[in-house]
Amino acid sequence: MIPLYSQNHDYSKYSVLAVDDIPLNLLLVQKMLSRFNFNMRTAANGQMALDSVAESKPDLILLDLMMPGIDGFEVIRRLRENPETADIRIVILSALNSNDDVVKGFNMGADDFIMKPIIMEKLLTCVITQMQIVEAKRK
Amino acid sequence: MKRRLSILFILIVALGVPFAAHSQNNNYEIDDDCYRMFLEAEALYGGKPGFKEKCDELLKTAIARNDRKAEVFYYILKVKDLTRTQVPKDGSAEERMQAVLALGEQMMSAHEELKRISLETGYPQYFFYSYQLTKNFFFNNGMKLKALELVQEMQRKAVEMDNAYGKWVSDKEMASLYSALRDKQTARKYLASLLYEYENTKDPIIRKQTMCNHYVDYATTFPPAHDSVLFYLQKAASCQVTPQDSVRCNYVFAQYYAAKGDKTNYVKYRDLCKQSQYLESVFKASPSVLNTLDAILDGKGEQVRNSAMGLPASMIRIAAAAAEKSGDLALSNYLKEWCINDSESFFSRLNDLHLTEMEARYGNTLLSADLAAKSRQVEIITVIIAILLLLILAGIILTMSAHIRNLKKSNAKDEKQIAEFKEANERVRMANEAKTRFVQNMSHEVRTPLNAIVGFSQLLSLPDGTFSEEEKDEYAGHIVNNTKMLTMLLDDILNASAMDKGNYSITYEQSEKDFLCEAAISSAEHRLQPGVKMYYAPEDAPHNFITDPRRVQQILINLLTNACKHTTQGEIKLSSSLNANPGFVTFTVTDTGTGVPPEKAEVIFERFSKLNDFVQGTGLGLSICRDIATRMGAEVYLDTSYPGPGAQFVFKVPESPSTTNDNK
Repeated sequence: MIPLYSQNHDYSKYSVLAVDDIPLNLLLVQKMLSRFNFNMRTAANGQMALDSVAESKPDLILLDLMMPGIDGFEVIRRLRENPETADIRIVILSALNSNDDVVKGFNMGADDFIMKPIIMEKLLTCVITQMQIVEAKRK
Repeated sequence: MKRRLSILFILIVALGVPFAAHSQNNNYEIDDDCYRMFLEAEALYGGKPGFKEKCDELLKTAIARNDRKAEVFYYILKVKDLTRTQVPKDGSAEERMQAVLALGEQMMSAHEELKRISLETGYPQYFFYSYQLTKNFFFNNGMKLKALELVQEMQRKAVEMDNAYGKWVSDKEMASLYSALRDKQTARKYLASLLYEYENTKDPIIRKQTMCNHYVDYATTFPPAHDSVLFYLQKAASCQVTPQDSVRCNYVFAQYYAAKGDKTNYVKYRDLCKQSQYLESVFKASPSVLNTLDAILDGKGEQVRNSAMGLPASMIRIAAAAAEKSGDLALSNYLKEWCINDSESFFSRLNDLHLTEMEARYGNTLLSADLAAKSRQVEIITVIIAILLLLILAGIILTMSAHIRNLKKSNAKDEKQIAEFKEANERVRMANEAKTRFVQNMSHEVRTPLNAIVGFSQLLSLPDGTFSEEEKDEYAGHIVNNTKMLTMLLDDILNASAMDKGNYSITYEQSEKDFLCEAAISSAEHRLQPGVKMYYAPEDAPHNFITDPRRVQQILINLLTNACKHTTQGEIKLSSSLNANPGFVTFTVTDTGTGVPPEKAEVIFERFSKLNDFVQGTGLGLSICRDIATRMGAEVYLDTSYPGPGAQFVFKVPESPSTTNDNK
């Protein structure tokens, strides 16, 4: 099996929104996904994330939960409420690891949950799976 | 000479007649006027008006004339008047008895007075006379036992006083009493004594008594046709004085002969009786008695069988005897049986009467005395019980009020306790919440640097060519930084736990303030946000002092990293002064960051408190700073007088340990 990092996925047609209040984490995610050539956008908090989505709908959102102001859960809820944004794939990347939070996340409407510290393989696999769904939807 | 004699004779007669008349009328040898008044009063017996006045007049006159005997007569009048007083016959037996008792009391007091005066004045016969009068009163009013008691007392007194007349007359009264009570045996005993005494006494007063009645009474104590009856009747007849005496004798003679069945003699005496006008006044039942006897002796007993029943009991016995002698046995037996029944009923009635009397006299007094005693007892007991109840009640009230007070106290205490518990609960809850938040926060805090470390490590491990050298250097830098941060974080946590237990030491050594500050700055630099300037600006020259340099640095670094966290633009200035607080080295950290609201000045020093939950940090820092500062005798606080923008923290360290309290 070819390691994921050497696989040539070209997701240049797809856009990903990464949301995290700590800039280092955003950098990390960007670097981890650099091989996929996503159209990467970032947001530092929930409000900025929603604005970004309103501006241009991303295909995938990588969302942190612990953020000032509107937290991750609220973002998910609002996106899912709005029929236009209800179908965006959302993956939670969070340091909150309690079962309650995981369940809450899924109940809110998240599509997947990845715990920090992020294992790169896990992230990449997850992203690819989500893209497959997106691609399938597009057809 | 003859003429002088005849004049003398006439004079004597003329003078004598009044005397004779006087002595004839006044048998009692008292003053004539008094005697007259006595007679007048006698006529007013029994509650008639004027009686009292007459009596008082008599007494006055008697005293005035110094006639002591007449004085006695006043008292006799009073007694006799009471004996004539009618007791109301209506009402129940008890009521009548009560009325008799009431009158009896007056009787007794009059009796006592008469007794007293009679002895005082030296006329003891009236002493015993009083007993007779009083006894008659009680006997006639149904109080036969009282009557008996009086006579017994009279007997005793007579013996005491050795008064022959007294003894004699008490025998007489005894005899009549027992006769009335149908105790013929005892009556006979007394009568015998009476008669014997009479015949053998020298006492002039006894000798003055008329004996006819007594002989008659004695005669009737024998069975109807007994020989002794005749013997004593004849004796009675020989000493009869008054017409009443004769009719009494003749009547009893008639009865005797009837009982014997001697019709001839019966008729003789019967006719003698009938001739007397006094027959019915002496013997109320005499007409029917004589008729009955007539019939029986004529052989017509059956006709009078029913009427015979109405006769006095003693007569029925005579009738029975007559019937028997006349050969009418059936009637005789019938009458005898009737006698027996009547006897029984008489004694039963007598018994009832005695009972009523006793109840009235002693039953009541006994009862009332008993009742009085009992009621007094009851009263005492009631009072005692009432007092006890009151005491108990008082006791109860006291204990209740004490109880209530206790309850109130314990309520107050409970409430206080509850409040305290609530407070404690609240504190525990808050502490728990704080701890949970801390743990959550911790989790997050730890994972953040960890994420960077793990993440960038993974990027670095990608094959060559993926990233440029610059990029790799950058990633390596991030790793190193975050490692440091993580280390500090863990240090903080471990420190906090150590602080809790007080498990750290303060070791004093020579230190230089500028050196400490520069070192602190370089340690905190990595936390500095881009665009922010951090520098040290001392106010004075370098200065040595004795302190724990590690702890001072720890605190300074903490303050500086806090400033770094909260300052996104501008500068962070660390300064030191020797003059701001004499005896202390004063460090100041001033930033142009988000600042601290004055009301949060103390809160930020509390464990787990973070001004802003989302700024990275354990929230332990400032509380640890304060703990260490306190240990060193130093102070660390927010300068609330700093106008801003940003915050200014002050850290005062003593020049030397002597001014501190190392509470290790």
